[in-house]
Amino acid sequence: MGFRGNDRGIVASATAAAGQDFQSAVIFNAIQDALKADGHTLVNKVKGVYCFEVKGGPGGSEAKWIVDAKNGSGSVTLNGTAKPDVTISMNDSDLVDLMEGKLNPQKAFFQGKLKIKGNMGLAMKLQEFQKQAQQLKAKL
Amino acid sequence: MPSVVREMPLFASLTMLHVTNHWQMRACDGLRVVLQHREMREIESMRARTGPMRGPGIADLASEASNWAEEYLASETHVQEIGPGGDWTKEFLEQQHGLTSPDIIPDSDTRWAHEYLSETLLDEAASAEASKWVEEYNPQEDSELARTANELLGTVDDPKFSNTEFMSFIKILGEGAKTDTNKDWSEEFLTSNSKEAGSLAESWSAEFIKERRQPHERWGEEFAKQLGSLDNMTIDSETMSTKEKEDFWQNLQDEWEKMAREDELTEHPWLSEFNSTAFEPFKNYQFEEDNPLKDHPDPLSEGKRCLEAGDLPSAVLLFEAAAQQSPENAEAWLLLGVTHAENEQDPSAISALRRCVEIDPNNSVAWMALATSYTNESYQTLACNSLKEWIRVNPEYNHSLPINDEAIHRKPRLMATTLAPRELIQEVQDLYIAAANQRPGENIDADVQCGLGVLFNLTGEYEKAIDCFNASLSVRPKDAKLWNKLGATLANSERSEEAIDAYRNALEISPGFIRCRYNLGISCINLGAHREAMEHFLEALNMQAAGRGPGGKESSRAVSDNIWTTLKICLSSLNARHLMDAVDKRDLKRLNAEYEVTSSS
Repeated sequence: MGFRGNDRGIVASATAAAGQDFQSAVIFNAIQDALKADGHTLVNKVKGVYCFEVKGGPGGSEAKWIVDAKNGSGSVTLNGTAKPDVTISMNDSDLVDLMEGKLNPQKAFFQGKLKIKGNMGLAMKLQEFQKQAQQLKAKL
Repeated sequence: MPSVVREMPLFASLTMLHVTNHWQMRACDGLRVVLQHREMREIESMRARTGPMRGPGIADLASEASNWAEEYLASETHVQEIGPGGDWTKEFLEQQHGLTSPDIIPDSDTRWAHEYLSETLLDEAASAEASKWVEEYNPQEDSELARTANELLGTVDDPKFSNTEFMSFIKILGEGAKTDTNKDWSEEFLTSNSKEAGSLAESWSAEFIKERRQPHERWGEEFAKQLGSLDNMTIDSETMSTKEKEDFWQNLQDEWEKMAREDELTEHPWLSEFNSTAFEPFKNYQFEEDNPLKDHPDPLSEGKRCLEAGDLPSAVLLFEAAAQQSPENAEAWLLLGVTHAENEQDPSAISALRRCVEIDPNNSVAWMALATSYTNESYQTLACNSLKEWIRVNPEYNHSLPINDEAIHRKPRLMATTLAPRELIQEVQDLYIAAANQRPGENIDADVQCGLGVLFNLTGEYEKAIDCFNASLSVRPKDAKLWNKLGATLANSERSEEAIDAYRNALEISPGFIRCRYNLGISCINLGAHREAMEHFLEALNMQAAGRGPGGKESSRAVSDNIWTTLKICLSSLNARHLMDAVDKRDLKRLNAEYEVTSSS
């Protein structure tokens, strides 16, 4: 699954272009880059497939990303169909804030902004990717 | 009943396995054994496979198992009496003492199965299924279950197996919920796909078999590495009530804490609340191996000169030399720490600042700097404790701290608090607000305001933090670090344009302020100005690369991995794939040329 032959699995079709309009696109680009840079290490650490259900995109649209950190050197696929081990459901801007370390995960969990369905251990391994995304957090 | 109770766990596990899909587990001690097993997640993923015939037997037994569960839990006290930490596992093991061959289950085991079946099964259909199951369980047939039981026996002597908070929690959950939901659970179980139950049992046993082939030590190690029981935790947060969420998170934390303490895991930012008792990051300072300035005759003075001139990378090397030449010099460590922070290297900053406060616990500048760096790295408790220490060592304000405050007696003072994170934050907030109120009207204490600003960044209350930094800037308008803090707060609250203004003020005062330049680049990315962001990153990296000794040797210590990583992200947004390997090789020359940046050496 995915769009082989392209630079990024995300930019390949009309629906995919819409994916890039989401604020979260930055996050998924970063994750994809992390996987490209050191996919095998990440896959060995994480060993799971995530599904991100993102609501509240441009014009209220929704999108789904599959982050496979289980097979090979990993991949990121917009509207992928792989079966996830955990599904994270969030609002577009909330997801960005969470991954960039600006939204406290515990808080988000309790407020229902962060919905987790499936393997909790895997959800916590999101931290590996947060490290990547947190490269966009300003330092005091 | 006692004998049945003790041996129940194995059976219980089989029956319980199915319900892990729904997080409410009706637990018993035996469940500990299964849940602790890291392979549970693999079991779950194998659920789809079709399984052998023994499935239905288990499913039917479940209807009776609810009664059994209550009985078991009621007899829980009996089990506990065995002794601290001993519980059922020891007795169980003692019974199996005579085991020789791994493939043969002694009669006592099959007997308990029969006992169980005959005692709990009331209806005929169920017992018919059950006897079928027992037949299949015949060890002579070399069944997986037989082997499995032995694997279980083999692994239970690992102490990690038996006692975790998590397991007791599951038990409590089970007890709490059992009155109203037991029925649902058993119904649930019955209506489930019996094939699933069978395959579950099979895969569970397969995992145990595999596990048995590895040494027990390695099991513990892998358990730690792979987050063990956390992988077994499957939830659906949308269906959880607030109370359930609270309990869940608390136990997630406890479990993590336990694992971390035993196996020296790193802290998890999601559970940053926990980072108190046993765990402290960035403990030991790592000196540059090849410091060209190591033997400088007066590194401390020279370092201060460099700092003044805005040459952070050289200052780092000089302060390292100073700290190596006089390891008990708190000032050297302090300067090393603050310079690292300004040079966008919080982990090194933290290590150095820790050394400083170890030597000089009254060093308030160090405590504030620590609070800032810890906040950047999201270590809430450590940041709060540092802020608290700042108050404690400040004669103007420390009267508000109780004299027999428990933290005084702890060494080092950074560690441990028995307060829950929310309480700690509230306490620190109260302390700082009281301190701020101590000074009337215009007589603002810039450091108190700074501390408050840092605290509000921790809690995400950015608007309040902005007010605080503005207040401290009114007193110290030429403080580049304060301008940077204001800018960072603005940036993290999506006010990137205003952030850039603040950063420009800081850089005007202190052009060598690497962190600030890096932040500026980040804000440019946030505003979509990727090319400009690249320029800022490259400028920062050029400055860092220029930090070299008289021999002209570059220092790797002075270069921030952070900046390179963010630069890479920026490049990919620019779709500049062709430059990726320049980044990997850290080929500044090439990147400079591409983005028309002149290197500052």
